[in-house]
Amino acid sequence: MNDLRRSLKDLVDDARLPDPPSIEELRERTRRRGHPTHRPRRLLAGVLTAAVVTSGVVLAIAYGPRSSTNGPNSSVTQVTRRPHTIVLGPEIGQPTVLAASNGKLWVSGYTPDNGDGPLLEFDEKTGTLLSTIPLPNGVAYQIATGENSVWLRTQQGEASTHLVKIDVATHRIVANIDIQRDGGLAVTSDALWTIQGVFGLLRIDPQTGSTIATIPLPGGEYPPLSVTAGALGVFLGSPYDGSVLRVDEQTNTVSVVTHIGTRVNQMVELGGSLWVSTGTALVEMPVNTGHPGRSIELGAPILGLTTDGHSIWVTTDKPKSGAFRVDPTSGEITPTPLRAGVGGLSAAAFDPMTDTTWATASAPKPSLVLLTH
Amino acid sequence: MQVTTMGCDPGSEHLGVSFEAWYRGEYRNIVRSLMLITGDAEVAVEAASEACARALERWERVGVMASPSGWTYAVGLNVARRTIRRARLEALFRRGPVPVSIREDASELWEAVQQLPRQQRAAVVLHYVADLSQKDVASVMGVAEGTVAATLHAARKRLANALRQDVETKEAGRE
Repeated sequence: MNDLRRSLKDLVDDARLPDPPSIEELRERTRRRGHPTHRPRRLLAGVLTAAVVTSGVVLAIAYGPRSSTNGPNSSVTQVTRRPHTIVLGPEIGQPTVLAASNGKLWVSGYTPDNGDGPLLEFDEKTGTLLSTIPLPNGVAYQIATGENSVWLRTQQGEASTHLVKIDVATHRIVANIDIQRDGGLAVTSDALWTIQGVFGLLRIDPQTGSTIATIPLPGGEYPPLSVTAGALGVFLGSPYDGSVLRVDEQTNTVSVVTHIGTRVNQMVELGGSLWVSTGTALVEMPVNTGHPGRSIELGAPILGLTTDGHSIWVTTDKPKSGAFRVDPTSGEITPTPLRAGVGGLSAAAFDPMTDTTWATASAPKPSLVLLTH
Repeated sequence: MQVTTMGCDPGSEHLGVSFEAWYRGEYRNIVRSLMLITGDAEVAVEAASEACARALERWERVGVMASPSGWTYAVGLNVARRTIRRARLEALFRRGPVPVSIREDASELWEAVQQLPRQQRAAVVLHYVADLSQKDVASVMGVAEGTVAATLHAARKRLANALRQDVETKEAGRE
């Protein structure tokens, strides 16, 4: 066995292996995503893809079963084709939340009779239902994935919400914390950030579930409710007055950065900007200026927002073409092809491990759909 | 909702292992493994670099996983798969695969590895070249651990047969 290991390791001529790119080059690769230098290649791919779809010939080669003409040089591990649609089954009638992480999809929502649905776990690659976890305190309306855990906010009434932690290995609920008022949720490696309505922003230790800090928020009865966390920091957004706020993680304080429109719904970070959905528009806020920049009109209320590190993916309630990919550099909006009858898209999520973006759909059946370029 | 944590300090060791230390030790092995799986040197280098860049972005999360390398291999294989699919669409306008530089004295083994079915080749490379445990190989490939064991067994048998035949053919030629 050791001989085989040694022989295989020695197969490649080490002298011809490249040196690792520097850390700065790796960072530059990340920064370059969405930069104009990448566009011609994507444009070429898009044009070619359109031509292929029109001809209908090469498509069968690209997405159909692998033919015997595919040489050994063109193969990687995936043998089975990733499903484009995963039907949720009888437990969920209207999905409300979706997270994608490490090849798994986590989805919850209302049951067909408007009851509180369970959390379902699916394998992205096969579409197999892996687990069904009943949620104890109302319907899930926020979700985030952490280290070996899924966090949810559930709600029974305006003053009865809970923060639920699920261990992904055991599929057990390991924390169920009474939060009292609603608000968003985001996870970083050392903290879970969630809003407790008028009572402020909670900074919680994700390991123990204990509250590290309760940070007062402006707005009185109308506080910011959405939260996002990424490389640029932790940001909050208000659905009442359009304010965007930044959290100072050192001092546990919050300050208003700017106002975007009359409301802030969801936010994602991409490149050096925060991208904010406000009604039917997507607005860029470069973090270094703190001022609203370009506004990209989608023409319909934005329901879901995520990023794959290159583009922003948006779902809207437009019939037939409800999903769009937005180029952060050019602002170009590209509709995502959906299968006939698919509609009612809402939540969207990107899995960096599998490089795939998914959205929830309610028609023709409650399902998860793979969004493709 | 975006929950990724990005842009961590590559030298940070608060998670037990710094990105830089892991990266320096693993990068060439990731390239080597992806070369053997894809058979395309350029695709392998690009996929390995992209996977490592994504690992760096998310090191606060990836660094504390039981197998950061397993996560990175899974990302690298997905990037490679997407690149190869795109290359097929662009085949009329684009060059073919860039051959992997194989040691001169290892051409028979390389031939035998290339003849392995896709799953077997991936399992063999991930286990023997990338040094992933069978559990991690199962996770990367999205199959059960028992399937990996059976796949490795079948691959070893196939390799042994192929190499034996090769030796016998050479000896018959000398006679």
